[in-house]
Amino acid sequence: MSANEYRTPGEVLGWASEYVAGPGTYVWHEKVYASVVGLLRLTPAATDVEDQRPTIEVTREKERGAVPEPGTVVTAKITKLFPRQAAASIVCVGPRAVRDKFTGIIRQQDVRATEIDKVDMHTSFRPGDIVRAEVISLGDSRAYYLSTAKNELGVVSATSDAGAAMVPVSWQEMQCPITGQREPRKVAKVI
Amino acid sequence: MDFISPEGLRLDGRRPFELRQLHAEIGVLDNADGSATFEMGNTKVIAVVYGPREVQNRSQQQLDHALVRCEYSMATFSTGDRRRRGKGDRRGTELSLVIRQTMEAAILTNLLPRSQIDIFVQVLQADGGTRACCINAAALALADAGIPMRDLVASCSAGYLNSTPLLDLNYLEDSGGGPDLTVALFSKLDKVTLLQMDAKVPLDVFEKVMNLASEGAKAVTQFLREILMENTKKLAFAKEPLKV
Amino acid sequence: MVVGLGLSSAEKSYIAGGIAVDLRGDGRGRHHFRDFSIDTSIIPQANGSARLRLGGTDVIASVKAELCAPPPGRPHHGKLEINVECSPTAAPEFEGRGGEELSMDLSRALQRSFLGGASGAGAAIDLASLVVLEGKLCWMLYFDGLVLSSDGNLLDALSIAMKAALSNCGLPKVEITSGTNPEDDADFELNEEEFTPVDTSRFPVIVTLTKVGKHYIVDATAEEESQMTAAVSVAVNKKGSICGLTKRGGTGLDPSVLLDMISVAKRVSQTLITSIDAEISAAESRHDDQ
Repeated sequence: MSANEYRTPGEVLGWASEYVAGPGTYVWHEKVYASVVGLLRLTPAATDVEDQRPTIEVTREKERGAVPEPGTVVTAKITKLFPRQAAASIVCVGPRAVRDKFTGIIRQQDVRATEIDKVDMHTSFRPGDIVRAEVISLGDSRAYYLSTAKNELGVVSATSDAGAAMVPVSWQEMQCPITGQREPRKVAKVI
Repeated sequence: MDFISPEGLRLDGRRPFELRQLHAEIGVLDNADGSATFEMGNTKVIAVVYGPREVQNRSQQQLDHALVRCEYSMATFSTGDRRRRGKGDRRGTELSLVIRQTMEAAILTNLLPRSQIDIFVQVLQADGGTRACCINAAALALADAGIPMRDLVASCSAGYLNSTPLLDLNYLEDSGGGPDLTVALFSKLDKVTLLQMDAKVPLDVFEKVMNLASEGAKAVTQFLREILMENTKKLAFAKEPLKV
Repeated sequence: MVVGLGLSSAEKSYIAGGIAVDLRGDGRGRHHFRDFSIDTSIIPQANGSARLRLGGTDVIASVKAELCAPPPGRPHHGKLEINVECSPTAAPEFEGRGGEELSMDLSRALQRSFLGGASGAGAAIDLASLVVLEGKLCWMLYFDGLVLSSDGNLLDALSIAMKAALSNCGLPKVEITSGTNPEDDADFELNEEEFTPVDTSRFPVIVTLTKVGKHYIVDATAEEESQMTAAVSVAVNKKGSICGLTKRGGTGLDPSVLLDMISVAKRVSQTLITSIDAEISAAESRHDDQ
């Protein structure tokens, strides 16, 4: 059985003892089967890993819509503020825009890394801000859990009360270019 | 009425073990995640898949597997006499349920927890074997949407008239009064996932009709795989031109 | 998809700005129709059928003819009925009864333009041509539209598809076997071999003008429609007469603007009707070759 051939769902790809089942495949009764239509690929295992079996996967030609996974950085728009959390609507996962609506929640303890019990949500975010956050878990049934507790995470774009796009001044404040007024935010350090 | 002529030909000129002409197209609607049309003779069905997406009705959300929903609709012009069907009619509800259960058995729902997969099947023309056609179209649409499945489901119908088992009945043969059996199979795993029949038949007749329908379903699977391979190759060539 | 996430303010200003300088998102001018393709005879069981693809909008129209008694008080007229359904394949929101409101809206708009007045005058087809035996037997034409996929401008697409389906329609010849006396019921036989086509020269085409900002555009996509303030749909026939008018949207329109929109619709419809006729004959010859 050679790689670089197309497979359809239900086709046997090999023995589960010889291969690790990668994306697009599943294991049943000690055999690895394809679960989607696509190109068969074999990836040898990394040299430092104990399990030396190559990974077998079936990759699709058509891309599926982006879905937030734990560990990925997402771009979200703050929708509501509560005393101990902020609700956000996830717009992009990495560089790809999502096709369907996803909700995320940033809890008080995940806003920043230091002094997490003294965080005030209103001095960190405002509704309408665009933030970069990391997905820490799939969360509960209502929303993903997001965190902005790293230097490069936080507010990347906000509009001031006067309606202009604000400029970051420090990691705590952003300034309006028209009125000069400074507003508190948890600012992302974007290089 | 004679459904089989003395030469052994049926009303539309086929032999008893012959399938109608199959025709399928994948990716017909851009808005949906997956779509396909499937034709068995004059029966034309379009199936569309939206998903996986977030569950719309929170109370129905399943924590460990995906929710599969299906709706079957017939166009007013699909049958010989124009009939305005309400959305809640019993045949439509039953078929929605049957298609949903069949596809749910095929989808690896545990890989997509807390999500929802919507399958919409629209019959454009009905000429017998609608159930089978819908299942085939739904299987192609799910594959187009990239939803992981155990195996491709293929379906076919068969009947028994003038003491002969007949494969893939059309509307006239279906209304002929004999049994109408529909079977859906996982071909590679060789398992039956749907079996429905109406009318009374002796057991040996049942066995013959069932075997015939299974052979038909296997032939349909072959066709489904060919169509999927062809479609994937077309997409691959569109992405990267051939390196000569 | 627009409906899922909505548009960002940048996208909204892009659409409005483009329309203001006569250069829309896909390169069209304000008064340009998208390219469309027509396939006829796709539903062999119907008397006439057509499928229209206008950008991302995909609709099927079918005409079924049945014999029945003429309408009361008008023994020399036939009957028309128009009905539209939105399939859940177009959007998941149309499942169950979700698409009912839009379907009724489209059906009523089409009925207003095609059915004519209570006396039968001004209908899209000369109703007198549908009579078989005056006072006893006439043709009832059922127009059914099915929306498979929507990318804006459903009303125009449905009207074009119905016109194409009607051109494709052939009415079987009816032979009266008895009952020509006024008191008797008529007996008839249908000759399924000979077909008479229906005259479509009076059949209008609907052109919808969508107002976005200060300008109006023809054939809006779904994105552009989401930004509309008002829309006027005008049904115009080949001669240039207006057969029906529908205004949607909350914003009030100045009467002069309204008259201007109607004249634009008339102008666009003439070129549109010519291209529709060309597409239909191309589709019919493709079908004959098969």
